[in-house]
Amino acid sequence: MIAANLLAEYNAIRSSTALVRASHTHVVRLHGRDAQSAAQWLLPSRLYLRDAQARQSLLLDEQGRPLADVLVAADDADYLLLIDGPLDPIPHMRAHLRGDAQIESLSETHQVIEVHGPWAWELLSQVLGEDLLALPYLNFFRIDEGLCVRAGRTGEFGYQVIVSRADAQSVVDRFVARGAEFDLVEVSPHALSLASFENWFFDAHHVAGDVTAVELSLSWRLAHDRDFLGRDAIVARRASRTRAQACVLAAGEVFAGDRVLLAGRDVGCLSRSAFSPTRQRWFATAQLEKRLAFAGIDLATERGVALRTIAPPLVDNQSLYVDPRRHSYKTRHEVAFGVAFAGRESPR
Amino acid sequence: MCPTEADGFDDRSHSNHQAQASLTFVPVGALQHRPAIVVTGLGAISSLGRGVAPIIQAMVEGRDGLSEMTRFDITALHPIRYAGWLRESWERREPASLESWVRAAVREAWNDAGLADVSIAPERIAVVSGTTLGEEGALSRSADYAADEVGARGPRWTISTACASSANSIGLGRDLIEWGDADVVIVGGVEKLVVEIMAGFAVLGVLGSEKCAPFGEQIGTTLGEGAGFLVLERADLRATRPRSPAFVLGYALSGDAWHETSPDPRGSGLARAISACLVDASVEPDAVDYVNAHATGTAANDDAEWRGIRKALGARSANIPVSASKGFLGHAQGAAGVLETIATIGCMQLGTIPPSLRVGRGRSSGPADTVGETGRAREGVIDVSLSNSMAFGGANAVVAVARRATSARPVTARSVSIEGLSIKRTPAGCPRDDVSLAAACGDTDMRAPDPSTLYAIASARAALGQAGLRLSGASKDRTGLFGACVGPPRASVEEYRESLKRGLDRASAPAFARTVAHAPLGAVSRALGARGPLSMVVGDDVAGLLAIAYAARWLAVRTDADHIIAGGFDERPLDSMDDEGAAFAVLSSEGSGPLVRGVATAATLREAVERALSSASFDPRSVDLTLDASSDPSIAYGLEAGLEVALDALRGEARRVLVTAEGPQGSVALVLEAR
Amino acid sequence: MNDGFSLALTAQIERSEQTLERVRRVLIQRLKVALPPEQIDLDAPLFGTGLGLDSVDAVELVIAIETEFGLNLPEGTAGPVQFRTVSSLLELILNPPAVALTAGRVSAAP
Repeated sequence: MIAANLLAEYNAIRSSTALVRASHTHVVRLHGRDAQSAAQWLLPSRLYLRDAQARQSLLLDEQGRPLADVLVAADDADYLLLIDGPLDPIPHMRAHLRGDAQIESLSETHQVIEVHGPWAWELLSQVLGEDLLALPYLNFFRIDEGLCVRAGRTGEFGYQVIVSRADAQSVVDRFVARGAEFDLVEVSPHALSLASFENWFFDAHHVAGDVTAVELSLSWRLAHDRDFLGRDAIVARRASRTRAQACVLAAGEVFAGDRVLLAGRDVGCLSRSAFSPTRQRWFATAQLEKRLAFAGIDLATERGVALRTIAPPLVDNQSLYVDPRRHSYKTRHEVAFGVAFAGRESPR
Repeated sequence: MCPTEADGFDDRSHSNHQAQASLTFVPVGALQHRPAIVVTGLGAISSLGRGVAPIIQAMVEGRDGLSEMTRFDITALHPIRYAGWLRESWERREPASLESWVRAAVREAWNDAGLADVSIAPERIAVVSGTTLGEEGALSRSADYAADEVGARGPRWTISTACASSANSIGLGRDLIEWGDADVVIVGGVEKLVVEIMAGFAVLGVLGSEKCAPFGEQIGTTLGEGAGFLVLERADLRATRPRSPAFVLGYALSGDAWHETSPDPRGSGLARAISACLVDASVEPDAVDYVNAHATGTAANDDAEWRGIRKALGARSANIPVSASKGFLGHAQGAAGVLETIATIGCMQLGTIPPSLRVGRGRSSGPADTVGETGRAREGVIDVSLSNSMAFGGANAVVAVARRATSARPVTARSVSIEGLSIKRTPAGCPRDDVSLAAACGDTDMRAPDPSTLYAIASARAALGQAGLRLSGASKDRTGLFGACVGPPRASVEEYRESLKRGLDRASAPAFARTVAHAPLGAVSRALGARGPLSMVVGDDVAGLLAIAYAARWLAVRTDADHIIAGGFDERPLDSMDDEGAAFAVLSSEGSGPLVRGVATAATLREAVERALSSASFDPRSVDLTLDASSDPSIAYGLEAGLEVALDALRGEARRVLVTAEGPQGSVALVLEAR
Repeated sequence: MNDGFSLALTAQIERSEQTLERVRRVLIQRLKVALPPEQIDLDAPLFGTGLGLDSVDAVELVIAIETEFGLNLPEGTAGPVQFRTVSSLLELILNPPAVALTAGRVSAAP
């Protein structure tokens, strides 16, 4: 079901530490006198942020379709954006920039090193300083080498370290050297994407067809009390929507594009599927008639594979049970991890 | 005047009240050096017993004052049992009375200072008391009891920044003497533990099931209660030398602008306060011998605090003794800072270092020396000590106390001006317009703001805008917030009270976090990113102008802030349609707006006016207009009638305007001059 | 409403829909989430900057849910897994566990 090397990478993310040497995440700094109003137009999310705090946002096109997943952080009067998506976000942002504000792409000058896993915090603090133990989720701290953002997207501890290209190699070397004690594995975007999918994080690389933030169940990221690029389309779509996104567990192999049936009637289709190493089952994102998005509904694909809608995530992450104040990778066997899921959500 | 002796006592000039009168605002005139301020008396009542001696004795013996709470029923909070409560007096059937605790501690300090038989003009004795809850929500009552106990009639301040209250009070008391507002100041604080407070801390998840162990492996704090007061005097005016003097060298305040209940985990706010305190005290980090940590024993506090200490003290932090008194006393909140300062002074006088209890193996990241090896005070010399306090709302206060005064320090004086003022209010009889208030707060975290918070953010933000200030980077660290209010935010207190009906263990944690008097100020600090000094003055209609006077002087004589947003707010009772609102001014050093040329607080309005005018070197006849900022029971309205009208007049024909306020907390006068 | 679902499924969906509406109301009224109900998606994370809840709200959320739905969630049954998203919370309410499944802390997801 899953290649051995991919599985090794996946296991590192889920149970030890994983390194991404050069992330594809775009880093953009939005600054200037009108940075706030520019951000409020370009980014659809609420923007209230304490200094050093981050929030999940999006880049939308005029039709309200997500072009990229964005993490926006307040860096004093500037906004720091970590952008993940299939396209180069800079032309889009430049085209829609308003007022006296500048977009500075840091990707040419900087490298993003990512560390993930239930013990990533310990490795990180040993390499980059003990202060990082105090870094809360969705915040960043300044470090000597640059910036460290904590915005895991695998359900495990996860950090993005933004350093100048000149310093990147030495930082990576330090992670690799220290990582030996943490069973550090260099992981591919594929492994990271799989872990992220299992934990039901939005991934802009897998937006299929004409769907907006509304159908993708991302309305919670949107500001409700101001205008932003794509808002008109979003409002219209909210009124007319017929579909909603659901997570389904499958009894066998399923594929993106599979039609979904309920008592023989076509009620939607699968838009992304994968095999979950943790659950040892296929699972998928389904675009269904909106009333069917609740957990616990039995469906089937056109090929007859049984499906059941579930409440994601699929993983009871070890990170939820690891306490940086008490635990250590060396003595990880002392940690009482969560009991696996009960069987009631599984399809027949 | 000559620089004073290194120990601060100058026998040549004692009881020289002429010299006192010249110790004034801007320009400072004849006095070029800041006088040494000495602690001449200590008084306490705590879970370790009545008096200072039992606290020091317990530290020598390594014995705590924590026991199972039985004064009220907390079985619903199981397994939380312990508190540092006044069991002994309760078992003697003495009621738990805030008044009697304040009186006992003040009386002890007063007698200790040898002032019982000395005649001091009552108008020249001031009081500064710190408390979170006061007497059942009547916050300024403790200062009244303290004043009454010794017949003090000078200004009577109450500071309420929760667990930083009494540390702030010690510093402000030092200021009042330096500024010439008083000759003797009684400073300290009090807290009485009530079941509602225990429930609030319990639902926040910060109370431990065992006795607290600051810097220890075991996580969780234990609450405490009691009262502590000090007598502060100007060393060079003191006729007799105290047996073993302790000097208040300096203090500082800061705001984290981080979270409503948790400190900035990097300890940055505390680090700024420690550094500013060292500057105020003219002490280098390497000269600090000991730190009495706030260390509550919770996960969030101790780690953050240690990071802050390390940041501020640098290399000195490698082996400096850092201990916490909460293992002995519990966390006495508003009284914690002063009780811990008393413990520090007491041990210092004895030639010992205050210990920590139950540290065990300690935390993975904590001080190398917690003075925790035996739980008993260790022999050692402390010349210079720091005492930290960290509170809800990100309010930090640090006090430096030493066995010797630092050698004569020059007085700095910067010009102070008012750069902006904004008033957001709802007149009596009118409904509050929550929608436009929220809009005036800008893009800010508007989850469950109470009216006090809405008004305070809206007004402070507009004042900044009027002043043309955009806070960024270092200017955030150098912008303070001084507020004033009559009491804690009413709607949040009511919401919390309602939630208690669900059961002690089901009280609302978010509502509890909003019930401290300075919670709205903490929200302002987060909304604007203002991380400079943060303080909260509580009182009647006079409090608003007191906060502004405090801010003006802070900017004039200190160098750790460039702007202070100062003012006050009030919230109508839930069943009333009274006036309510907020008024905040932006005061700046070296700004361009109308100048604050003189400030004084005093027992009587006449004296305040006289001294404010003389500090400005103005002839009373040169004043064009006098306005009363206490003409309205609402703080916001008072500031409107006083300050706003004054600023309007100064934009017109008036050159010099006097703004005054008078109330139960004393009198205050500000002299403003047009550019 | 007839979507061509079986009676049993219709009943199941209606129960979920009603529960979702109540959860949204609790979040807005009791936890002061500053979003209109239709934007509180099933996938919305409860903690973190999504709906804006933080550690101070954890106990309040348990109490509010217990009160609204007349549940008594034993210690350990309302842990980090159940409090991840609106949809996992819905699961907890619709299928309350009889005994503790997990013993983790409630906190913002890492």
